[in-house]
Amino acid sequence: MAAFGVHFGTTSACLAVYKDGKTDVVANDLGDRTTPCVVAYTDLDQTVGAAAKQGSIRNTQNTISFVKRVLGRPWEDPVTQEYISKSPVKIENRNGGLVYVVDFKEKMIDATPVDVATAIYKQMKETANSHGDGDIHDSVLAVPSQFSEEQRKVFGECASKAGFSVLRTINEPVAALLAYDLGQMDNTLHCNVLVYRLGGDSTDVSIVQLQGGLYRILGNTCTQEVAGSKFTNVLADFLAQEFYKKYKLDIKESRRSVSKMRMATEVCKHTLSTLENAQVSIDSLHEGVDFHSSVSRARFESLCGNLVQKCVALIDDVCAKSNVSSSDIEKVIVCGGGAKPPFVQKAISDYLSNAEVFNTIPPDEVIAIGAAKQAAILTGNNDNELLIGENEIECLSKTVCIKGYDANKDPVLYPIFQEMTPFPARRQEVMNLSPQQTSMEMDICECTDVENPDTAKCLAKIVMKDLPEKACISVTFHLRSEGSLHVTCREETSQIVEQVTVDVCS
Amino acid sequence: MFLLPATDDAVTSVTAPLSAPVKVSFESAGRWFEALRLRRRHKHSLSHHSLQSSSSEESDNEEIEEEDNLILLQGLDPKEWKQQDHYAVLGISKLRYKATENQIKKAYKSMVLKHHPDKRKARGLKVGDGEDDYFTCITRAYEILGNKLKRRSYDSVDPQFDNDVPPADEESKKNFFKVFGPVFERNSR
Repeated sequence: MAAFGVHFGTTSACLAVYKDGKTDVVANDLGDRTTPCVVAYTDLDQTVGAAAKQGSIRNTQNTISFVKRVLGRPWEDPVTQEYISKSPVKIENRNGGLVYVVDFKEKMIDATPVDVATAIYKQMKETANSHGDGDIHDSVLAVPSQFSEEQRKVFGECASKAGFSVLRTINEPVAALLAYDLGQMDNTLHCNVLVYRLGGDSTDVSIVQLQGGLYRILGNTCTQEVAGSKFTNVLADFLAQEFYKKYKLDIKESRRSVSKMRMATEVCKHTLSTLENAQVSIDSLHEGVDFHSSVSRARFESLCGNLVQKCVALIDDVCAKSNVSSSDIEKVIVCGGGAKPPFVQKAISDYLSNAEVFNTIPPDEVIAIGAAKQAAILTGNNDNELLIGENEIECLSKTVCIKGYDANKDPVLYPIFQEMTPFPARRQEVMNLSPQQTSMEMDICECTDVENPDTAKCLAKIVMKDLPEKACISVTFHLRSEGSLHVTCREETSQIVEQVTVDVCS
Repeated sequence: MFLLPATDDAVTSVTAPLSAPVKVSFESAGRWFEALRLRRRHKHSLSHHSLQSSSSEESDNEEIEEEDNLILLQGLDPKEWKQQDHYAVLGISKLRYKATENQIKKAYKSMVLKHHPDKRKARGLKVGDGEDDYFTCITRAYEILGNKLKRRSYDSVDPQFDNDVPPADEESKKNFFKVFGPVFERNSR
């Protein structure tokens, strides 16, 4: 059965499918692997995606973009207010929520952000249909980790309205980890992962702690100061200056000229991610004057020097917020369309020089792929609904270990359950005694520092006597869901059993 | 790591309780989270739950009733094998076209164990010469039913097939499903 992952970004959306053990992005009807999140209302119809974006030069006041920023937010929210001040589309306040007032089929109609988002989800649904697999579309959505419950709910509703059956909504940074299967194959992996998402309109940097196959977001920083669109702006300004120098014409006089320049610049920027040089040529840019120019990657890089520095500064910011030093970050995942320029990736990996960088999946597809993998895990299960508080799990506050002795008879601690191990858990160990030894005692301790045996607090002692020679003892540690620790020692040949239960401190 | 031998006065004992647990909120993603969540929800311990829902192979273990067909077998003429009822020969005359491939194979094997000339000789029974023995009929029956294509063609002209359709009178109209259910079932393959 096919399972889908949907990533609805501020500037573009991406759909991935998991089928027959493989995850891949589904290309839309134009053959593009991402769809711009733009909806345009014209006198003929409503268009979504690349067509709407292209038409925006002539239809600016009826073309809605960046809807993700205001979806599920009330009118008074500063983010909404800022959005309204910049929006070329007329926006009004209806019962505390915003609506776009657009000219559709020669009539003025109201379009709520929910309508717009649903239209985009419908487009994704069509893409999913084109993949052809019946009409069941089990899917997982990915949203930014700082999203409120309300926003998550609205997103889920939009997707359901469009025909997706939403199994769960997960956080974008975690989806990025899933995309690279970090901790999925081997649940003993313990590390901190930095997820750098440089989106089209905003940048999110998060640190995710991976431990025992479970994920915890330690900290996250989000800004609109660096984003893909800012890179475009820098380049567009540079080209506008060049145009001014050549022809003494200022394109800022005309809104349409600015739009044309932005469009052309965006294409140019994308080219520079793969090629060393890119051409810009715009017919009749301003007052009938054509514009041709070429930009080299080195030039673009030097223009963006400031932005790249800001990018790197965000890493320090998130480290400070989550109390992790940058040297403790072992892995970095780069995602988001804005992270495509090679010099951006290089700046990040240079800054975290001892971390392993994951960038094999195209950055703008990472999150959708991760969501599809999560959908694959959930699809087919009956009880996927997450109860309130179900993701809050009791964990061990200290490491449980056994105290043994090394060759010099100095005590050493051998960890059984690391701190933060969630309940319940079970582990089995096999102990070999020295050949002539016929009795043994084992101390079970808890500690915060495994390297320092003196600080360990003894919880229980297990004593076994009258053992046969060459005894082989299998020890089962069982951490029960209510928090008690049950330890059973069994000698394999004689079947002598000794057990003990340590209760939890109430 | 070594464990020391026990001192004389040492006994198994609990000295202190475990420190109070901390509540941590995890991201609801990934297969390990899912496994843990389901385990906690169903109050299972680790041993009760395996990660992969084991898709047990569909069991084909319907016991086949052994039919006593010794008299039938002994009355068979190996030369007339084309006329015989192959299902009856293998002892599955009740199952007929419903028998699975496995059941047919099983039935054949049990017949071989019972009726093979060598087995019967060992038991001191009379055995016919070569081709003349009724065991040939069993092999012939399996040759037909053990082959998908041949079995299909045999099934389609099965002389034992109940081709009756009850009359469409008042009585049968009232109990439509009861009366016609088996008919549809027979004819639906």
